[in-house]
Amino acid sequence: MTAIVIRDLTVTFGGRPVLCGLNLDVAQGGPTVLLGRSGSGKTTLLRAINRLNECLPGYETSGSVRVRLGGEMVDAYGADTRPETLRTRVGMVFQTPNPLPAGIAENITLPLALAHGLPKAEIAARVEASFREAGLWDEVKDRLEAPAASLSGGQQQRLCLARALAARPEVLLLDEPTASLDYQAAQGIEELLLELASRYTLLVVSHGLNQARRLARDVFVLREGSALEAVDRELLSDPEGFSHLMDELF
Amino acid sequence: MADALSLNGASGGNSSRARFQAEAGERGIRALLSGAAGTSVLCVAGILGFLAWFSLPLLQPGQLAAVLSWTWQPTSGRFGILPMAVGSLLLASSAMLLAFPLGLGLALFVNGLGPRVLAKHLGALVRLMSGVPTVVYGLASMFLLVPLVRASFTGTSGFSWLAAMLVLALLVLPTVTLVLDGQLRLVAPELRLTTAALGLSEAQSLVRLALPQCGQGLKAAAALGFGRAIGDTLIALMLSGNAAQVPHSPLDSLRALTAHIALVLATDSQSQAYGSLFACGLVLFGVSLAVNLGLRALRRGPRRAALSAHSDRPLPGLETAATGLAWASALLVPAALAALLGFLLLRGLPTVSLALFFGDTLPLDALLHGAPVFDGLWPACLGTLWLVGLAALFAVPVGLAGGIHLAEFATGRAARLAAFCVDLLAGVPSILMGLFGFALILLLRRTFWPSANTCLLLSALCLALLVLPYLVSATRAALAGLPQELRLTCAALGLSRWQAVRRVLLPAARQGILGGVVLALGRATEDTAVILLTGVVAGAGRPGALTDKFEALPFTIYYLAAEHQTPQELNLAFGAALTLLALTLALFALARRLSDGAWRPGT
Repeated sequence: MTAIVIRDLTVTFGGRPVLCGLNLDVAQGGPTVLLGRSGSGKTTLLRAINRLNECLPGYETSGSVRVRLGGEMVDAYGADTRPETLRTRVGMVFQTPNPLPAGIAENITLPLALAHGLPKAEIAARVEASFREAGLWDEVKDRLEAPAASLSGGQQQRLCLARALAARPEVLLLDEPTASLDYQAAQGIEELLLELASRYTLLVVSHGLNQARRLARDVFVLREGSALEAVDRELLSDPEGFSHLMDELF
Repeated sequence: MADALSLNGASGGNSSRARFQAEAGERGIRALLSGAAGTSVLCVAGILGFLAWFSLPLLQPGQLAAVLSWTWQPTSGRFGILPMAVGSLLLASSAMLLAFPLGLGLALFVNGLGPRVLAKHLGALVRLMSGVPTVVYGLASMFLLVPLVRASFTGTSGFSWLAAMLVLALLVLPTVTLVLDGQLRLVAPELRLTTAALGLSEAQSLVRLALPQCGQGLKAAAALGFGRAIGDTLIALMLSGNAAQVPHSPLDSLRALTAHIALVLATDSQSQAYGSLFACGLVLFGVSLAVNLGLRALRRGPRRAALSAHSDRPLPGLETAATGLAWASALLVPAALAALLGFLLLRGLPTVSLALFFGDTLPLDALLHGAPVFDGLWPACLGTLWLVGLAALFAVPVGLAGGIHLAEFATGRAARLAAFCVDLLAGVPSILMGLFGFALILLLRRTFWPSANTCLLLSALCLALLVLPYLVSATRAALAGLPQELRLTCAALGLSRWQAVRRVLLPAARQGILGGVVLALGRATEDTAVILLTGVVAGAGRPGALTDKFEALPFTIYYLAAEHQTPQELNLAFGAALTLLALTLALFALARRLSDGAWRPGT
């Protein structure tokens, strides 16, 4: 079953086209991995799904993005879709850890209180659950009030993941979630993502073929000019095809 | 081989002599630069010294109690300054009470609570406001706001605490807004994507996350605004009525310390009154010192205050309240500004003609043959030109050199002292520079120049003192804004410190420095308080010598607004105000263009 359907998506910034007439179907679950050279528009594509491009100056878009939310396909750009609501259902993890300038626990409670309007008891329950889900609970349970900036890079990234999970989204967009992490921390996140794929639809932007091979159920390559090409999984495990793709991409 | 490796190169003695000369030259230059930075220390010490020296007679028995009393009646020998101190405090605090929320509203509006299209224009408007001369606000308010207050309430002449407070709030509003805006700009954009991805609205992001991070900025804006409000002379002088009393209601008249100094010195009261004036000066100096120390304490404190647990008790409706405040400010402030400046245009534009500048004299005669001009602004324009030119001649070299020294060479305690004095000098009320000049003349008269009198040269010197800190700060900031790698690169290429500064850093920081110079010129053009005490008079004609009295545009406006005999003279004041406004706005716009085009890393 498809979770995200993108048709004829065009995004321009200050008149310069970044994506042109792009089409993509993302299956439920995943992870679906999106590969491409830097500058090919992967991040913009991801941000088109939760309408985050709108927060940047000089942005214009056309085409349609539909996301399966609560069993129904919802037009992300529809007149009756509030971007804030959409973003609470479609979570995102950024390339570099971006904790809010607040305490560790507050990073999770603040959006739940403000964007979701949840009652206190529910928020408290979700804090521990999402920290456990992100495998961070044991490391932070004694210092929940400490500033989030006091965590290490890998911990911060897992905090951001926990924050996204706490919202109980249906889709999770991850923009090179391991790019700023060391090998071990990256491995931890990858394992976590594989586990999460059974409960959420995951769309992961990556620039590493190896990571794609480890993670992906579906792989797409985004080329210049917004040509999107599905890559056969077998090609990834075949050494010759792999190196061919490697040459082509990087 | 050894030659090739020798750092002095192959040709031995010759080149080492050249090297020695170069090093001596560099030492000399650095001594000059540090001397320039030391000038600002001397200036602060000088002002404080003069104020203290001339207030010394107050320490005689009974004198201090006489000054710290509630009655000002110089004719019966009573020189109490407490009513003025209270007046200053009331006026400045009430103006800040109004300006602070409005400034906060404007800053929130431009940083996301208002539509982007409007935000851009509003930002430009606020920056334009900082270029409006005080005396121009004063003139427009005297003939628009004051009659309005008189008509709206009974039993008041309109010249009141209320009128002065409203206009003073408008005057300090850009200071407050720009400080807050600068702080929000540092944190808000960085948060925007993160909070949006979490489903928070722009208002929530600003009010719940960005604003609490600006705690220090809020306090800094309040302190700077208060310093500016209490240091202003012209608004209080022109609008508050100047009765030496403690007001009982906002409709009463009051007198501020700054206005008190200007009034008493201008009417040339007997010399016993001077002592109490210097006490007023000391109080004002103390206030700006306190503001400055407060700001430093803020800067030193923890950079980001820990956030209180917002989510435990999310005050409902905070976003709505903030949005309401933002829109209210965005409507009120431009409306007030449009009313004042519109009134000025309405009265001033019809007067604009050659006759406005040259009266009945033929313009060519005045320009080429120096024919005297009566009933025209030409002598005042010339006076202002001379004044600003001379002030720039004194201040620009010293300010630039001082700024270079502080940015590139100064270290340790001396550097901190110089930087502190520059900041302090920037916050000292301009009337104190005037008082300093006046004291200088008093001193000269008592010592070796009995016929010394206030004059063009003295005014220019005091104005130079006023704009010196702007020049130092702008130069320093422009240099400090350059990336550290640039200095490392220069050092790696074997350039000496001074070579790097002269050949690479200064050219790279050129526009920022130039912007600072133009801004300083604008500030010198519009200032009235300094020249009021140091030699400006009405009807002096074109300036003849440096030791002559002179005319200047801002003083002409102030004088004609208060003393006009005929409607024609008042028209002249409006024409002069329009001329001065056009001049300063052009200078401020130019300064802004220059600073905007400044070189930044990666461009």
